[in-house]
Amino acid sequence: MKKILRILLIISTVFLIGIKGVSAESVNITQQFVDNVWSFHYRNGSVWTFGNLPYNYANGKLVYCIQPDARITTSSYNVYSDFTMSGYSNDIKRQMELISYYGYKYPGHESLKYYMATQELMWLFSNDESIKWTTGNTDDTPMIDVSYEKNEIQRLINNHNVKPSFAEITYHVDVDQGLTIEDKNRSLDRYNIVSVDKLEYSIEGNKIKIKTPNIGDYNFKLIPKQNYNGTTYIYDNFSTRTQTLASFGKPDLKEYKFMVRVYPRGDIEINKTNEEGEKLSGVEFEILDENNKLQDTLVTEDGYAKSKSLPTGNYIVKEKKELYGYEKDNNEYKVSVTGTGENYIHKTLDIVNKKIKCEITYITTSKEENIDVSFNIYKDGIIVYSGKTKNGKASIELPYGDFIIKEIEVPNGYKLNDKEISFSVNDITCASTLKVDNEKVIMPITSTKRNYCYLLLFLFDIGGLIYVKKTD
Amino acid sequence: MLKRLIKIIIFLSCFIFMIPVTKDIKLKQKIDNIIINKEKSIYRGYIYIPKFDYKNVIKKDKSALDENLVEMTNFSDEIGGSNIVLAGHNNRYVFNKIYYLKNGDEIIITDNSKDYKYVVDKTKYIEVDDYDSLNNKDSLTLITCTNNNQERYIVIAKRV
Repeated sequence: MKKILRILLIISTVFLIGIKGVSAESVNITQQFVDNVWSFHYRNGSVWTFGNLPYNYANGKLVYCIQPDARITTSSYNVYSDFTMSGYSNDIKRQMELISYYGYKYPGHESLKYYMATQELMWLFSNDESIKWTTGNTDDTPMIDVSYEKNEIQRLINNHNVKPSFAEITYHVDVDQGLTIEDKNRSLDRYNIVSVDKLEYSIEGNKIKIKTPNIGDYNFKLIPKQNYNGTTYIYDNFSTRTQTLASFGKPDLKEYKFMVRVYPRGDIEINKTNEEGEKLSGVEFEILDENNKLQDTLVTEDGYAKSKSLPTGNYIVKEKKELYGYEKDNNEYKVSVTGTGENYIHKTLDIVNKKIKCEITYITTSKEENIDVSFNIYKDGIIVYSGKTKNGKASIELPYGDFIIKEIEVPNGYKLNDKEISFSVNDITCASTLKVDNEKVIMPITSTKRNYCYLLLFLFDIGGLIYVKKTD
Repeated sequence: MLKRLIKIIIFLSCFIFMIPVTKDIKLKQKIDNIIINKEKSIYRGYIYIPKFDYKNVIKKDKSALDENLVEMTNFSDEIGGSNIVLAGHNNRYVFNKIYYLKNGDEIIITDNSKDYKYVVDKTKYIEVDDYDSLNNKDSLTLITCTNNNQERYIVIAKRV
């Protein structure tokens, strides 16, 4: 009979152990009560129990009370890995793990209020309908409000499975443009960001601002803010009625990553000259992308224009507005702003404009007669053309502008008409005629007819006097 | 009878010989009058050659050259211009003395308000078609006929 009883005892012990889970070790429970913090537990609309809030430690490790119905009656507890031994389901276990994770120990939550909120949220899985926190052992003492902390924990729990909206995405951005990515799921605060490739960034709310000073691929990791090892245990001493305690392992945590691919940028420089190499200002250009979409408008200044910073790609440069007096360049210049290894790609276009030439006819006459003269054409005081009329006519091709034409040499016998004739060549006066008339030089006739009358009269007088003298 | 007729003619010729003298006086009066009254219109001013104490009026019009006055021709139309050509008949009233001008002799022309002084720089005979010789910048060129109108004699004076 004794043998049978012994066998039954052994079987029942083994069965009990099987039911209660494996007891790994014994732990010593200690409590540290918080001054002036009391919890009042409401069931069926009234207080059914209350107590001074303690920090509970199992061998020095913080553990939570998950059974407000009971008080800690012994310091000798056992540790069990089967959470269901607490009377709660594994689903509640997971929820408590989340409360523990986002509760008191979560970065930034290490305050008494968060501890109270954490503890309250766990207690609400019991039959407690509500918990009221007070500063004294009567429920009419001032309340302590931990609703903010509870809401915050709850918010984090609700978002636990929500990853940042930019997780696992590759962003494409140009050098120096910078990148601001917004977490539309508003869960960024649950992660630490690790810039694997050391790209500088800053966090503003739910936005990450990333600087992109150099081309390349840059990886980022999103690591949950709190990461610890361990599993969930309950602490109890089933041999006596005492409060069940629990410590929680980490819930399922996921790391994410995203990548920023930084591309080079570039610009298009235009050097604009005329056929003589003079730098032309005021020529307007358009830069179009491959889709014929206007990207930039440039106007040359001192023969030079530079586009704004452009993304890499193929562009078309077109002269939009020609310079007055110049032929419009109807070419479409294809420019490929691409390159490797450089943050910035400069592409240069040298474009030459042709001047519009007008034929000016210069006619030199003297009254009705055509005469050939040498002449100079000046612009800004500098001789731009020297020539001679042939049969009284010369045709000169001139660009738009203001000029002066002046005779410098005329044939012998003609008076040089050195009057400077100012004229403008423009779209109205293109192919006009200038006429200059030259006076003939007068060779004065200054001879004097000799008057021999007096001499004859004088000789007559002399002769007469002699004759009179002789005949007297 | 013939003798009496000759005597009468000789007597009358004395009066005829007075004509040029009268003409000289009248011309001098005319010139002085123009100069004193600073007549404008066709008169541009007057010329004065100290060497001969010669003074005459300079005119500019489109009529034929005046037998007794200096005519401004070609190029500049006003005294003070850069290329002044003055033509005068080769007679005692006008330019028959310019043959005696030597380099360095002074010629003064005036527009009745301002004097312009020139100094003779060159004298030469030119062909009748040598128009270039009349074109002398910043100069005063005096021209008169010579060699029975087959040549011209010019005096070029530089402005000082």
